[in-house]
Order: sequence, then structure tokens, then C-alpha cells
Amino acid sequence: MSQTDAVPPEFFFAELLLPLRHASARRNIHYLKLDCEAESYWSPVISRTGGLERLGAAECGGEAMLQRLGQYWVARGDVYLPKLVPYLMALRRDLLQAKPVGGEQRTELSDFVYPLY
Amino acid sequence: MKTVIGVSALYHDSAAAAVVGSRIVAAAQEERFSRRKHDPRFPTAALAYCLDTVGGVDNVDAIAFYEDPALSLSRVVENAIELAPATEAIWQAAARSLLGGKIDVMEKLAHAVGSRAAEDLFIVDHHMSHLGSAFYPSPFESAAVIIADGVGEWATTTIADGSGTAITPIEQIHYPHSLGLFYSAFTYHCGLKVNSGEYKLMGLAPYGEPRFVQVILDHLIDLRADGSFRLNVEYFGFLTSRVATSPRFEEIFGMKRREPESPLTIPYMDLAASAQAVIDEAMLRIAHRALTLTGRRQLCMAGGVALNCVTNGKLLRRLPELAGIWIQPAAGDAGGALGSALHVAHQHFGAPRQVNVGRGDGQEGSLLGPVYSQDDIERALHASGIVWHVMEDDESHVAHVAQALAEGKIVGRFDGRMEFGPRALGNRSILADARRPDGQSHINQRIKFRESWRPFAPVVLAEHAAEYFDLAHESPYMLVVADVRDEHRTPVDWSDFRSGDADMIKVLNQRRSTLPGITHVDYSARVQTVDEVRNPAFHRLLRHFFDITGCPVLINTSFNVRGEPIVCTPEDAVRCFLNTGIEVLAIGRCIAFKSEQSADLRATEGKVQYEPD
Repeated sequence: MSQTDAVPPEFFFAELLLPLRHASARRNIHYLKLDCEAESYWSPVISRTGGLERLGAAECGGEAMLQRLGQYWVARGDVYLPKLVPYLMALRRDLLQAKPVGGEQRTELSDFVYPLY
Repeated sequence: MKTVIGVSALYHDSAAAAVVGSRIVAAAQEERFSRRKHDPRFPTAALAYCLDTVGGVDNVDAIAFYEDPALSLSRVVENAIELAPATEAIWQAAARSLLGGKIDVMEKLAHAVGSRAAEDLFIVDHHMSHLGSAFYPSPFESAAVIIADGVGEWATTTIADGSGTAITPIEQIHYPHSLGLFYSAFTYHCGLKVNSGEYKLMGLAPYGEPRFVQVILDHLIDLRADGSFRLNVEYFGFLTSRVATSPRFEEIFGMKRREPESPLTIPYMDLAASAQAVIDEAMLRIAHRALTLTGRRQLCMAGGVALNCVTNGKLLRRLPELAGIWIQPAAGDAGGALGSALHVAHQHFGAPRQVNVGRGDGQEGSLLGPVYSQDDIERALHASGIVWHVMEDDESHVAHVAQALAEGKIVGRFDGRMEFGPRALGNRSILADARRPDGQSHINQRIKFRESWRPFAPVVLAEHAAEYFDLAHESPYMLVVADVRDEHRTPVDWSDFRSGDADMIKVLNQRRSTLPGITHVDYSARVQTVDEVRNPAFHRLLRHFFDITGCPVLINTSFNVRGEPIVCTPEDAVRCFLNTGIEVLAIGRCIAFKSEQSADLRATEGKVQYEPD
């Protein structure tokens, strides 16, 4: 993961996310708690900001948000995820270039899908 | 005093809200303006309405967004990695959605408002926005607060303590373990639209028996005594696909997903009853936990699950330690706009919180949307070409409308500010006499063009509510289900239902109570109490109806047809009046009677094109 312009959007998953899956599995790192049975499933609060974050107009663009995400991942102590940030920025640029000019992206989901993303 | 605009957008039910000092002055969902139900797009029109209400963008001090787009992206990336390679297809879609637009939402907000407000942009966590909407406008100085929904960034359930202007989140349940997503899976399997059909699933439940509860608890959800829970993700599809359930979901219940719009059969009714019973139990445990942890006796709630008014009614009846409950009327994502603005007002600008000032709570009766002048209304009526009358004064108008209701007419009422939240609370409502024996099927089929089995809600004078319903608390926002009192009930014959015909209409056509129009098949009713403080004009109408008939109860259903958002403008109201079997349009100080309209105009009745909802 050194050349951020070397991963076209269609290969982002195969060349970046899938290897991360293998790497994290080898080290027994899990990003979702799926199978861990416990007496209680209550957990501490997750927040990047403590609940409220103030931004100025100059720091609210997509790239700035991705930088913030990288800082959050670093602060969380994750060694893999921060390396994704430049690639996410490149992917964002590619996707924005491919977007139809002036058109708001239509929701592609059917009515029977919960809008998770 | 500082002015804060809050915005929720891009997932579902986009909305904008405006807060001046600590007072909510405006709030509206984008769908009402765009006429696209649950519109998720950036709320351009709702934002314009809020900016107009506060006197323009130059008066705005800060803008709040209801969710952290970076943390939401984190969840999606981590989900994609954890379950790769099965997540490849949804990653492609998610990347387009998030990186190709949603991650830029704050910049879009800054451009939309421009000027100095863009220098004070705030991101408020999704559940913090819900917490703000649930606690700040409540009538309680302090309370336990519960948020339960599908998912925000990571949180799906949050317990918090609210006191004064402080809200302290205590603990959470995180994605993918979610009561909202759990209930949506059953909605999907029963062939209903996710994120709108949940409401129908709740109404379907009383036709069934909860015979799948143990299967659900054994296989789908590990529900702990402390209210925490974990979903068995093998039964759900949303982690790796675009659908809510996995093939194992069908296998465990032994039934395929119901084809949308196909006849409803007993197994799906039983499934609805079972999902409802599990949600009831989970929320009871969570509420008990919240009250215990915080030491409070008052409870506030928001999040989509808080719109389950059957559960809300059970909390009131089954938790002896609960002294009072307040639920944000716009409990879904639209309310996040309001909560985020309030949070910035209190936490950043230090606005003091005024509890119980003015209108029973700080929600202003949830009458926070646009209002149209008598001139606007008359212009719309002129343009429509319909025959109409203007009354001399409000008293005369109320008398005519109450008389029409007493004569059994179906009335579309358009008056004052539009409601914020999914329920019509009288100002954009279709009203009818609840004693009318055919009320439920008649309005469903001829007015709303929706399924005959769906129940209607009663609106009752608050001072008479206890005579008709087992309800010890007020329910001003129609968010609590209570039973019709024993003395008003009549027996229902279910003898052929489960053994053979499963004929919902046959059950429905039985009288059930002295108020058949609003009594569901299990004698429950989703009650709205109306009082003089929150909505004096609507209270006056009910009072007048009571004076004529001796009955303080009306059917109250939203002023729209199936698949359409509730009407917003006078033009919307006239269109709905002409397209449906509504017999009287009461709009501002004007009245129009269907019987007086020309044959050409009357010919449009019933020709409405609706989308299945």
C-alpha cells in the first residue's frame, strides 16, 4: 500500500480490504463483535468526538473528514486502518470524477433495504 | 440569543429544525415539500423553511448535523473488512454512497447556508442527536433516556442520564446488534417495506399469536436479563447484502418471505405478534435497566423503536417504578435535526433549559411546520375551481365542522402549523366519528386507499380520556397504545379465524366496542389526548363535537393517501380532498363540501395513483 493512485475503484476491495481481512484474521483482530457470548452485551460509548465537534468552513470537506477518520483510527491504536486513508481519498476523487455533473446521486436501494450506507 | 439550525439527511426522513435560544421555532421533514415519502435527500426545502422562519441566513449562528459521517464510514469499512469477501458487492455500493457524497455533507451544509454560520458547523453524534431530541424538550428536570434504532455510527441502543442541560451517555449496544434492524428483518419477511412498514407490522400483530417467541429467543437474539442483547447474524442479511434476512431466516420459521401485496396469512400474523412480543420484552428490560442505573423515575425515549407505541404502552403499564414517560414525536431520524440543534444550543452556547414552560413541554405541541394565511388558503381554493364557503369567524367554522362530523361526514382538517413527526395531530388530519360502525373499512378503502385491516387512532379530549381508555398518563403525540375500557367493549367472534378462513375483514366488521372506528381487534387503541394548552383550536373542535353528541372521541388519521406524505400546503389539501372520498374540507376559516362540487371535479375521486407503502 504505497502508491495511492495504483488502485482503481473496482480493485479497491480485492487489493486493499481483502488483504486487511487476512492480516487482521491472522492476528485475531476483529472489527465486529459477532460470536462472543457474554453475561452482558452493554459496552462503553463509542464516539470519535465525545458527542460534539466544531468545524470551520475550511475544514469540512470530504478530504478533511477522511483525515479526521485517520486520526481517530490512529488514536484507537489500530495499525492497519490508518494506512487506508490515502487510498480512500484517492477513491473518493475517482468516484467524484465519475459522478454525473450536477446530478444528485439517486438512492439505488430498493424499498425493502434498510439504508445502512 | 443564539440561533442554531439542525439538519438530518441522506439516510431517510431528511429534515431541518431551527432553535432560538433554547426554544424550538421550526422543524419540518423534506418529504412534505418534495412529496416523496421518507425523502432521504439533502433537505433543501425544509432548510429554506427554517431559514425563512428565523429571518434569513444572516441570523443563523451555527449549523448542526445529526451524525458523524467519518465514524459512519468507519463502521462501513470495518464491516466490509470483517466479513470479506462476502461484502464485496455492498462495499461497491457503500463506497459510491459514502465516499461519493455523504462524506462531503458538511461542506454541502456550509455552501447551503453560506455567510458566517458556515464558520460554526457542528457534528453531533447520531445517538447524541436523538438523546437531545428526547430529553431537552421533555417536561422533566431529570430523567433516564433511552435511544433505540437501526444504527447511527455504531450505536444501536444507548442508555443515558439527563439532568438540567447535561446529557451523559452511560452505555450502549453496537452494530450489528440492533433492535431496529431486528424488527426491520421481520417487516421485510412479512413483505412490508423496510423503514415504513414497521408500523404496519405493529398493527398486524394483534391478529396473530406469538407462537414463535421461543424460536426467536433460542436462535435469533440472545436477550439478557439486563436488557442487553446480541443478534445471531447468521439469520440476518444486512451485514453482507442488501436484504434484511438470510436464507436461514426462512428456514427457521418454515416460511418464505411474503410477496408484497399478496394476501396476509396466519403464519405472517403470528410472526408479527412474535416479533412484537420480543421487542416488548427487550424494551421492558432496557427501560428497567435505565431507571436502575440512573436512579430516575422519569423516562425519555427516541429512535425509530420508540415509535412502537404498543411497546410504549406496555412500559407504562408494566414498570411500577416508572412515574412518567416522554417520547420525542419525531422519534426517527427526522428528530435528529431537532436534537442536534438543541444540543449545540445547550452545550456550545450555554442556553439555559426551561422545563415545562408554556405548552406542557418544550415541543410546542410538535406544531412546528409551515402555516398558511387565510389569504394563501383562499387563493389556493380560487385557483382550484372548487365551490367553497368562508365562515364569519372561528366559532362559526368550528360549529359547522363539528356538525358535519356529528352527521357522520368524513372531514379533512387543515389548520395552523403542520406537525413535525410522522403523526398527524389534528392540523393535517382526516377526522370522522369514531362511533361509525363502518368507519375503519370505509376510510381505509375510500379515503386512504390502503389495506382494510389497518387500525385507526382515536383523538380524545384529555379530560375525558380515562372514561374510555385504560390510560393514566396523557398521550399528546399519539405515541402510546392503551386498551379500550371493559365497559365499552363488545365480544369479538374469532371462531373461524385461525381454524380456516383467516378473514381479517370478518373480524374487523364486528363492532368490538362503542367506538368501533378506533378499536383494534385486541381492544387496543393508539390514543392521542388533546388539551387546551397544546392545540386550543383542535381542542375546541372536539369540545364542540362532544357538546353535540356526548362523545369526546374522533377518528384521527393523517391527511394523505397511501404512499403519499401528509399534505403540507393548501394546494395539497385540495388535491387530496378531490381525489378521495373526503366529504368536507375544513381549511383555515373555509369549508368545502364534496356534494357541492361539479361533476367534473367529483369525477377525479378515487382516481388517485398511489404507491404501495
